[in-house]
Amino acid sequence: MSESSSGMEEVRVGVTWRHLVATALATGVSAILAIYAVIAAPVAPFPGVSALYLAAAIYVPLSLWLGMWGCFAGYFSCVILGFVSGFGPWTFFWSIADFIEGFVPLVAFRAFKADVDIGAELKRPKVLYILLAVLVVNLIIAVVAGYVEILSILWIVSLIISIVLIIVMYVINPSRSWLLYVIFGIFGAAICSALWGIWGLIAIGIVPPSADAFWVGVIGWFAGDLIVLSAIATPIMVSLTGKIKQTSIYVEKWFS
Amino acid sequence: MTKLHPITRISIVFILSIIAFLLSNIFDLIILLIFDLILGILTKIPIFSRKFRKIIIGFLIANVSVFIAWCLFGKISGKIIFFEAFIGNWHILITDQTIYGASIVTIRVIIMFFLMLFFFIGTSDRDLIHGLRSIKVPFAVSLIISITFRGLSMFQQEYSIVKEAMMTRGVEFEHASIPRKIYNFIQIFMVIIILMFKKTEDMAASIESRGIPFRSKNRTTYHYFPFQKKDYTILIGLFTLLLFSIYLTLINKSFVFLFLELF
Repeated sequence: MSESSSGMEEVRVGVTWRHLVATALATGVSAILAIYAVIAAPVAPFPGVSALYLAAAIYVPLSLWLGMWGCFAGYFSCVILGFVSGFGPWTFFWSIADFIEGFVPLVAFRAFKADVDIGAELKRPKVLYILLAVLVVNLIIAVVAGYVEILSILWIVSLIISIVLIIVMYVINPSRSWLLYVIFGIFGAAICSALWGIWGLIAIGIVPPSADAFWVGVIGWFAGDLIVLSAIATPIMVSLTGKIKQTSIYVEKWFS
Repeated sequence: MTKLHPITRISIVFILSIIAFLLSNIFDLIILLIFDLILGILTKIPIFSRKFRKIIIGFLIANVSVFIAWCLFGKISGKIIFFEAFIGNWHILITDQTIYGASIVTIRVIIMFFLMLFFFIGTSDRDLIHGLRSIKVPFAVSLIISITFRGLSMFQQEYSIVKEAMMTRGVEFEHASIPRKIYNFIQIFMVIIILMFKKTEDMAASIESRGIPFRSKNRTTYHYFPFQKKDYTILIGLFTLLLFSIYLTLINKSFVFLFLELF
């Protein structure tokens, strides 16, 4: 408890039932979306991987709204998906992939002390969305080119284009929150989760231990997450964050 | 299985799943799968009913992906080569050993899926919560697990309701273009997220108004699940089987062949 300049006491509320209940209900919502995504759009030879992983669209917003509780919701929903996919108890290990998905942007926002409301002062949103779509397509090309050796020049070119696009976005909309969201909330979350997820599938013996299998799986997972995070999670973040920040469930720090 | 203590049921699922990973002989795994199915029948789950047939067939079709993944990326050399091709750097080699390896992994996944299916069908959320409480799992954790399970069914219904409401207002889901589909999903997600936050407020207020604390040592439960003799017997049997499987893995032998050698 501290005293502000106006003489009013600032009371820091700790963990309440609201946070725990929100985690439980968010787990339920995410689990349904995860199961639906894996059934509706599976990535050809990989179990538990979806080319349109709808659940990812709420993992990142949830982690930025609910802090660590959102990350836990992502983790437990993936545990349920793993059970349904037949991964048995190994799902507890594999599901760290979806924990990471929320944790990466959360760490970035907390470390840079940035406001999670990326839509607060959004300038020229239409141009930004178009640039974001181009960036997503470009990043998918970059990852595919990175896997196929003969396309190494294309990889370098697409990487340069990505950096240029991010700089242009920052020039159009000089917002630190938007920049952090694009780098860590979309790209960082998707790549980290894809790397752990496919490595986890190999480690538990569901996918054969081969470099080809690993990279094909990573590309599928990464592309699926990238599309969902940019096309669905971004408008959700822009339109709902302001309202959710006014509720008592919103977590300002890590746990409360 | 439904009359067993929930912790015994969880142990069956986890230990048999670990055993499935330890065993690397296809005959051992087939025996484990048969044992798995017998367990399901003993649980009196209508596994041959139309509803479960649909779930099982759906899973088995999805599970073909595990088999295909091993065939395409397994690259295990064997005596008989069925198919070999090079696509850029990617070497596809399907041999008798690839098929064998793919079958082993596929059966393992099927075993674990059935174990989980039988567990979740044969265990209600109340059984699970009171089972967890009986082994001193904190009340808050038990309650959260219960709300998660409720949340699953609740939001499944909410998702259908929101989708149907949108469809009655003329929103096209089946034949919509991809951007339109994404837009429709965003609409559904927003409604569901708002509903989730509303329900969170209501539930949390309800819990707080009842004065339920995070930590409570003296909290009693209405339902009591004592550990019975059969639970102890099954747990001892399971751990013995687990140790025996570890032993078989260490000496690189199969349970079936060891049995045949003895007799």
